[in-house]
Amino acid sequence: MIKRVNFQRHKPLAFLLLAPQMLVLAIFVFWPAAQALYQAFTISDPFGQHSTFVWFDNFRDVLTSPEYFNSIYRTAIFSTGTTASAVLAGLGFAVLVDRVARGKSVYRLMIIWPYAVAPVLAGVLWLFLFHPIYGAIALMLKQGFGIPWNPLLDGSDAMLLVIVAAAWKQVSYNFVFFLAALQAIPRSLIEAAAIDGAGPIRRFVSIVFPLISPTTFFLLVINVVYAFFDTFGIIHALTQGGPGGATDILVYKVYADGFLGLDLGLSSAQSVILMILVIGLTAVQFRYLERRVKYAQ
Amino acid sequence: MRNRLFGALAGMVAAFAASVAAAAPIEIQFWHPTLGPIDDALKQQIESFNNSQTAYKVVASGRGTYDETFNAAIAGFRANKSPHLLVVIGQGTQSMLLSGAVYPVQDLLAAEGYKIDWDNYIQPVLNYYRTKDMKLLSLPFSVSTPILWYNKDGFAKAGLTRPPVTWDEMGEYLTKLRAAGFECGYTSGWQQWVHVDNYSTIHDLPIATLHNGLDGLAATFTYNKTDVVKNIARLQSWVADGRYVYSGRQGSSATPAFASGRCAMMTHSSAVFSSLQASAKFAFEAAPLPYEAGTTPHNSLIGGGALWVLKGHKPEEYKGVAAFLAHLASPDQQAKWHKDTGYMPITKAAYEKVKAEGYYEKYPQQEVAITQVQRGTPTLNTMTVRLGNANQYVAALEEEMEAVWANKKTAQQAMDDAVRRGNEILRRFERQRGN
Repeated sequence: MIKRVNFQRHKPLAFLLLAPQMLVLAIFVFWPAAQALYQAFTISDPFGQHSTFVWFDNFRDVLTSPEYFNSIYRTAIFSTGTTASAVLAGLGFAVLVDRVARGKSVYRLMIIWPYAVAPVLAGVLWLFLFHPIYGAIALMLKQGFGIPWNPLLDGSDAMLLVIVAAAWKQVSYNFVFFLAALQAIPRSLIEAAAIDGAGPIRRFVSIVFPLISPTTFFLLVINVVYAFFDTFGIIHALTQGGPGGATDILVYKVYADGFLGLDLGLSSAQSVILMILVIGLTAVQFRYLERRVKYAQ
Repeated sequence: MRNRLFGALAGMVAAFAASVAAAAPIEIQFWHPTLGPIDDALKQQIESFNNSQTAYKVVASGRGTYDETFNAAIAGFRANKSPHLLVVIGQGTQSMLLSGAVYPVQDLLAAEGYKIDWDNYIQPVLNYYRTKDMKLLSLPFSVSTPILWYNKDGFAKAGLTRPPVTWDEMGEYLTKLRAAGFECGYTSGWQQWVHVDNYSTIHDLPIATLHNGLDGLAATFTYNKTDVVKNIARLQSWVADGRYVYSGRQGSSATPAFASGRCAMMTHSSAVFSSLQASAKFAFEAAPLPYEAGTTPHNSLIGGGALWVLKGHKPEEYKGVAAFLAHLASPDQQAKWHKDTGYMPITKAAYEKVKAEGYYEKYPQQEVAITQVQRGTPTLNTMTVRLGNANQYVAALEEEMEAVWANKKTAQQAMDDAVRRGNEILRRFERQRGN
């Protein structure tokens, strides 16, 4: 039973108890968000000497640039690719580790490890392995398999590289959640199905996957948000949006114009647009995907 | 363990007692980017100043990359907690100049009674950081210029005995080097700095109107109407046959491409000398950047960090800042800095001193940058590039250059697009400053 407390007759106490949390939220979430919203309507210099209220000029500058629409397109590819590969790989590893009889903890540790690597460091690592002139893996691809690998000039190679690098890091996270979900499935259900003659694939499709669908849905939302917001470090270390804008995703543009370019108005306008996009996307996910999710009783 | 801890504590107490007894020195905060292997050289510079007198103590604080350092300084300025001294990359000069946070170095030194004969400095190095009426804004610090690096062993294999002088000659050299077995003829660090900025200054071509922005914020890019386009088109043809291999943006990827022996030639900052010395397993030499046949080369453009003095501190602290800057500019310190780091010395005296020691006979690579920045007479086209929002317009230009190397655009199309995007970025810079 869930314990419930009724504050109907003690409203001031309720607000008092909520106050610390609200204060933290206000200082670290609402206030910066309001600042960003305000800045999106101004043009100012980084030192704060001049600030002009310009209405929608920043949004106009963003939305009339052909590079921005290229960026939206690239973001769609990147986010789909990263989310799909990170979730699928996490699920795959979890299913395999769940079936392993011996050395489970070793596998688990090895798969969780990448999560501890800082994004920028991961980017440098990947660059060093895949650099077309001196990267060990790049040379193997070129000389061993005859693949003309060049992420510095070929946009598809670059996109593939950043997707794999971004997903690689997230696989660990997904793996942990999937493994926990798998281990929560009662063995009796699986055994009953097995006795009825269902093979491993049939069991996975009809029993396991529906039972872990809440976890899958949760990870889908988290991974989409990760791909949209949290990947600028990897892009910066690997491609800086290149070649020729091929990996110039929206959040990297926000970072590049804001943190590197110090154009706060332009960067804020883009982050407002990005926020609207992601809120919309998450709403769609909840509206249409969540219907298929079966929560436990 | 416990003993060591106790020892450290005792040491701290002793140091504290000593500092109280000797009246604490005035602290001068110095924020700089962490520069990796040469942080030691910086530490030594500061220690030598701190040990040379007792009135002031410079406290250095590494703040990450140039961009991170600049962001930290902005946050500091907005919270009224600026350091006294700040290292800013040369491209940030215009932002600093208009920040309202700066105490020009030349004014400071004059006000503190230092009679400095600026003619004794290497002029093209100072020029980059000067206003149009020749006032020095910041003291050049980690300064370099791009030069041509070549694999001497590789040259011998291809039967080449001296470095190429013109770009067309370089093209012929590269064909020979490719035939001699080099998979990559040539690569470049900072491709935009080399092939747009420096190509323009060396040939006395404008990069933007109003003397590259020196005369005002209304400047617009013009390099799509000069020989820069021809230069980019030539490189595009070199990409097709492996004579030029693109190694990535900025500088860090080109160095290993050359140092691993895969690329026979490289244009890159003169300051990569120490890292090449550490990593190249072949004989390498340096030469001035090539130029077009039939032209007389002008000075090349420098780049790199400069020391800015920030406003809002006490008069007695500025005395210390001035003393520190004077210490840094002394021939001994400059000579040591140059030799330790590969950055350029800023005074003629330091250069003469290093030369008299016979250092350049042993390391001729280190002299190339200094002679190269002094080729020809500086003009208003070759003095500086004083444009805002450099990070953004450089990124746009690099993107367009990549489109050329990937054969998605012609050199002319790409330079036109880069100029259009660059001009939009410059107009935003103007609006940011309330214009």
